[in-house]
Amino acid sequence: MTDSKPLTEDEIKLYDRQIRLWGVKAQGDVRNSHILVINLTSVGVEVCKNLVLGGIGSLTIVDGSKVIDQDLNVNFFLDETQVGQFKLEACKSRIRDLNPRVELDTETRDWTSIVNLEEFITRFSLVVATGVCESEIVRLNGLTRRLGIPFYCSGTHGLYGYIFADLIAHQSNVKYDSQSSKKVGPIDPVSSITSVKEIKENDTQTQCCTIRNEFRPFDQLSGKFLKQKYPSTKKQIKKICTLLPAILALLKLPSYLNKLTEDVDVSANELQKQTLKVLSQLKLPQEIALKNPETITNLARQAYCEYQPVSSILGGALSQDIINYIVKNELPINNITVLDGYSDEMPVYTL
Amino acid sequence: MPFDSHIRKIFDKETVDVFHDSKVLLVGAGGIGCELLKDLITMNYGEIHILDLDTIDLSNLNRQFLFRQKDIKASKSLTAVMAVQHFSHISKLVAHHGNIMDAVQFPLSFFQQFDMIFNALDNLEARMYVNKVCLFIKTPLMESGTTGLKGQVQPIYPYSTECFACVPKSTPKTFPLCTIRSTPSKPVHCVTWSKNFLFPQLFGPDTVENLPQKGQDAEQDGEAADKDLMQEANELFELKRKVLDASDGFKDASFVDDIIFKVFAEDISKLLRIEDLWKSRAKPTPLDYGKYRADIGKMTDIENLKLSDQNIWTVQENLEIFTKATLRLTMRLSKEREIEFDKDDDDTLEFVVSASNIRSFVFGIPLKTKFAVKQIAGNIIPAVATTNAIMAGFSALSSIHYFINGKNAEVAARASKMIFDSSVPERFVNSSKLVRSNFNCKQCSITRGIACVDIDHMALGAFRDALLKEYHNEDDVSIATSDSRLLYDFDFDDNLQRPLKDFIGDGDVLLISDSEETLDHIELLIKKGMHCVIPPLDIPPFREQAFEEDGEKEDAETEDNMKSVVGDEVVVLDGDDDKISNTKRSLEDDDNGPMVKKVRMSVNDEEDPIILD
Repeated sequence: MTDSKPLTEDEIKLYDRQIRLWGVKAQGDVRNSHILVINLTSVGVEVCKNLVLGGIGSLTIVDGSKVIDQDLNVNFFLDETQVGQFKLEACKSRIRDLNPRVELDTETRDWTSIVNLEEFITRFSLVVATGVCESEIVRLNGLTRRLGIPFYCSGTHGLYGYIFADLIAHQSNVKYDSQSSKKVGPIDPVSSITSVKEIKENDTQTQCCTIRNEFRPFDQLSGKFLKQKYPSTKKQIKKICTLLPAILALLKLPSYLNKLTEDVDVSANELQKQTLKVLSQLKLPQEIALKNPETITNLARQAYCEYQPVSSILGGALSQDIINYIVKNELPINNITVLDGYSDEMPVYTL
Repeated sequence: MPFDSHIRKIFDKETVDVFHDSKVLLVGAGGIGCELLKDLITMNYGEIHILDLDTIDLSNLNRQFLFRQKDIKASKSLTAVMAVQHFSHISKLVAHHGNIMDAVQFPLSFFQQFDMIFNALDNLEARMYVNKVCLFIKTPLMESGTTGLKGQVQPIYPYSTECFACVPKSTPKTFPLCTIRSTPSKPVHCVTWSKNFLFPQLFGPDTVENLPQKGQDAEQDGEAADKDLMQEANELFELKRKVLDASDGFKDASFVDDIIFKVFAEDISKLLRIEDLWKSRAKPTPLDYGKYRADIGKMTDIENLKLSDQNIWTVQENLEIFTKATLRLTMRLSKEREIEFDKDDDDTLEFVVSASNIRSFVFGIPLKTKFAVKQIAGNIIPAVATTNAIMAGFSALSSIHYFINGKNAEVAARASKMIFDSSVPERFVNSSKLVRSNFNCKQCSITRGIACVDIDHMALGAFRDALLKEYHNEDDVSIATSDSRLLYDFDFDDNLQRPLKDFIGDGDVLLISDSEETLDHIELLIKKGMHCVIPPLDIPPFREQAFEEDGEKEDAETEDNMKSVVGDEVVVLDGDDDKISNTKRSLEDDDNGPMVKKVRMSVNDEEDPIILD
């Protein structure tokens, strides 16, 4: 599976602008990665585009849905003659065209119908699932944990969206200005600096830190890290946005993935009830749900709607985090980020 | 079922129609441009114009997802529009291949047709230009840029919020000439020398003006050094003669030996004689060319010598490459007359790589790979698909505030945020409320208007009279062009009888100053018209302007302007317990005071200042 041929001159020229960011060796690591994307949602399309452009070794996409009219506006691999076809079949050649060097495999069926899912997943170096609901996330994440494979999931609902990451345990190099005087030791309960190297880069003294991050699987999310970070209830209410528990609550409700937008019916009352339940499970104050009630009503109304700019941001963020993981640079998202397209904010929370 | 049912559920019907009825301009079809075009189309803007002057290159394909290998060398804007046909359902698309700063191709009336302009540019000059146009026509501008994993989006609502020029931008680093010519201490000095000094001397335009003039040096290491440099340059001019002679009737390659001996041995020995230079510096060692000369050409067939871009070449290899590149360039000179350095022209690049490495060796400076020298000499900025997708997404998303709020700039300005990359674990991006324009901004603190004038027939004198009538200046005005050419003031009336067309064209800007210094300066953009319509303007009282010289404030971080925040609320990204890293791009967190912004805009300047990316 790992082929360690050096990059060719042509590959170096093609990927020149990104090799200047992470180096030839890391680009080789990108080429050795085999990534599985489950469900070709709008954000899934963005992830596929970015990973294929970036030059991963192989991409496997699993999707069993058929193209409906509303997909035309949120999936730029489709054209209007393809309504009624299997989505993946319809998109395949345009995805392949982006970068013929990337091996593209397609599984045109629902991922839940794969007989031996665990065996299927084993061959990938990383798994991304989009548009999945809570029970599905827990199932997939359970498998990836058991197999020691990093896992991401993401979803968008109108102007809102989220990314969850379970990289199990990961070490990456992060550069800081020397003035930040980083020292070896714990940063917070989930991350610590394991080494600090002083280097000189472009005339500036830089600290190159190796940072280790520990992650939790989706069924073990906890509010304790946020409570440690913000000890007072007042601070917790101020710092934690309504969107965080609301979007986790939406994942608990029945899924409307690939359903006609007109038929999606998420009740704001039900969503609020679930949001409060999420908060009590996380042992976080209920006021977090109440401070921005319009977030909950908007989210209920826009549930399962896809909007290209939101998909572009989340797909970009998710793909970058994947590449950062592969090239072992930068701080990873640990472990959930939510995007609010009305306020242009994208906080990261450790649960 | 409608194809846009997602959008119909997110927004109300009126808003959906507002998007359909709007026309936007996207400046740049490069990294951010391709992404933005995709986003704007799927947001169902009624009409989208996309403009770029550049053509597609292999190194674009890792991120500019609308382009393929077969499109290399084709126009970016035209190719982009072709590539999106299959998913464009409502938007009418118009591609323009051209330079945004070309006022003939893109006069003011071109810009005026748009509800909003999106910048996806790669250079400061064009950004400043579009910013200024937007100030004149009061059109909202979504400004964006990326460099590697860093990036930002700045929504600009003219005169309501900071414009692009309000926060000084960092300018490219410059080196004293003397360091480049006589006392290099870093690889970049040697690269600059071979690219900007040796290369044009040998292969550039054949003029004496290229000779350095006495007294140009910013930093003098004594008169002797200066005098010596003059002589050195004159001698180089002789070498150029040899190159030209060689290119004329190619006989033998001995002139390359002369060049190598001259620039890497003889000139260095001369520099060594100026003892002042070496009091506090390590001395260079003239190249012992004889040691290498015999083996040149022996290594392999010189034409086929192929060395890796990723490994550092030995001195022998560098000399080999230098000889090879010089011979090739010399042969080309007979056809091309002059050759310009181009990072993608391998002969020129190999010349610069080898020359700078040999010079580095002479001065005891570490040698560099071809890959690394290309980055320095070509001013290559790292770029990835993901950052462009993220920033384009935010640029597109920011635009909705204007269209969902009835195109009210004030309301949109309050709702919008400036976005930039985050280096702290608590947020994926930093977002901060927009701030009011900087009172000292050279661009948006000036009162502006558009005058429609029959420039072909109207005399400067009549134009002056019309100004005095409209603005009631107590005594007189002075009139100058935007490049500070004085056309008229009270003791310079030579031009009064001449028609305006002798000095300006359609779309040019005139600076009008009150001679009594009662009223403030104004800028009038001149539109060619049938009559003379001077815009009514509310001109504030005269104030002294801090017109600091460009480059004086090189570092944006030294600027700590306290700015009033749009809206009532002072937004503080309070992170007293967040671990804010002390990096250059983080926000200064302060629970008590207004936010002080310290942002360094990435300008993504490529070598050619007018390439749109």
